[in-house]
Amino acid sequence: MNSEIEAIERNNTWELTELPIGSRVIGVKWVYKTKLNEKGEVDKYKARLVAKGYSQQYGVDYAEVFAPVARLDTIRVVISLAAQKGWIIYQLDVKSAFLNGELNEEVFVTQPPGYEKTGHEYKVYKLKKALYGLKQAPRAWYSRIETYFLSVGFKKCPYEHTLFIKTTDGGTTLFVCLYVDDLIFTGNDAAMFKDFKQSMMNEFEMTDLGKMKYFLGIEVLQRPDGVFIGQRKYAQEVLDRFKMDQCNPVKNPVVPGHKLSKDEDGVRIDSTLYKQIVGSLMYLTATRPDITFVVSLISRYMEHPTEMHL
Amino acid sequence: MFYKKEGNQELLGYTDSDYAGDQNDRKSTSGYVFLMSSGAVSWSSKKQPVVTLSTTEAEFISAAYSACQVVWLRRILKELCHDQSKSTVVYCDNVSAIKLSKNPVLHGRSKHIDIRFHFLRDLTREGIVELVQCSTHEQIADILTKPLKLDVFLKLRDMLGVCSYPAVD
Repeated sequence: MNSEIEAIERNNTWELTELPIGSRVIGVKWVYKTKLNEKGEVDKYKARLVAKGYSQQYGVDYAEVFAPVARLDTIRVVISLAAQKGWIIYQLDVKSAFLNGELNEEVFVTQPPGYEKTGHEYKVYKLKKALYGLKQAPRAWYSRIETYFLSVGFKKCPYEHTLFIKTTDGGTTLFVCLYVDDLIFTGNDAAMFKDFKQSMMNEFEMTDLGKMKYFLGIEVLQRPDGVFIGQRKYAQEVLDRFKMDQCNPVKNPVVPGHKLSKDEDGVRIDSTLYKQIVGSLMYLTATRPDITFVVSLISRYMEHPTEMHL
Repeated sequence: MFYKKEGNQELLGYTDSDYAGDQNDRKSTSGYVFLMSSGAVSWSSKKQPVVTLSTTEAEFISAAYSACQVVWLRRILKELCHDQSKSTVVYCDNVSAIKLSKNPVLHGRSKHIDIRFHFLRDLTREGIVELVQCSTHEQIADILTKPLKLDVFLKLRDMLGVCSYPAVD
């Protein structure tokens, strides 16, 4: 908790002020999370200060909230192109990304529980930068990094707003693909990688993850003869979650000639559970075109699932 | 999924559709897949919004959908300095749908096809998309439109570039 407060203060996020008459104040609270490492052991305990964004009103506390994220198609195109040209893909992660976003609106928050300034208990913080939980936090972060990329000579791809390209006269290029606070980059010049990484490190607090290995739950294996992507870990987690880890594997995801219909009179099952299963499988189609048809087939019955559809 | 260094450099597409596959409303399912570096980069399986009167029409609609995706993918690839100089080949196993894409005639059986799906004809004329015939056995997009027999499923899955971890070594 102390380190989170330190990060916020170091970042010049807020200043203590009196609440102007007529302004609203938004509450904050602490959210605690235990981070596990890949072996499942406790890595660290994390505390994050979040604003109660659900109490914000549209038009008063925020206006635009849309922030683009990369389409998986784009990410796959970049990976496939890198595989073809033999480029190496690197990955970076921005620490506390949303705290970097600059706010356009006036937002006041209460002092964090346990960290009230003695003698100033009645005062509130006026935010200069975003906090987690605010409705406009993702957008503020996106505009921040977009401005930065454009200022250092990147060009934004007009058809995919999270793809940034930098080309030099010497014919060297660098491609950066942004996914909220994770980004991957590749290109044909090692010197550009180094410069880019250094400039990002200077601008934001970053974690250098080296070669792209694990991105959005997708495992990536870069080899001289190509690139492999898969979701073995995610698939296992889905099986565990729905208690199917002991089930017998099938070779074909759907029985040929088997027809599903609405089945109005069938025995109803828990539609929330059904939706959770469909949602989990949906993300698995990120690397599995072979199950895409079945997943879209079963998703047609989310409204009224019966025993027939399980 | 494995993207091979020695795989195809140009974008390659497959489009297919079943016919009246939904038991309740008799709508068809379109599917398309695009391959690059011998692996699928973009794919979709989607129930069509309208009821179609013939397989040709259903195939034509899927081809129109895949054409929209071609436009987008070509733009992205151009930004990535991998300009597609030739028109993108999209394989389709329905001869009349291909003819319909090339030939701006309206006749009795196709005159009702919605204008938005004629977007495909425009793109064909401009040389962005080219529909090419392929045999039903080579039709990779089949896997996205209907349940398949195991041997066909495994074959097409291979052609998509999908493989297991050990298969890479």
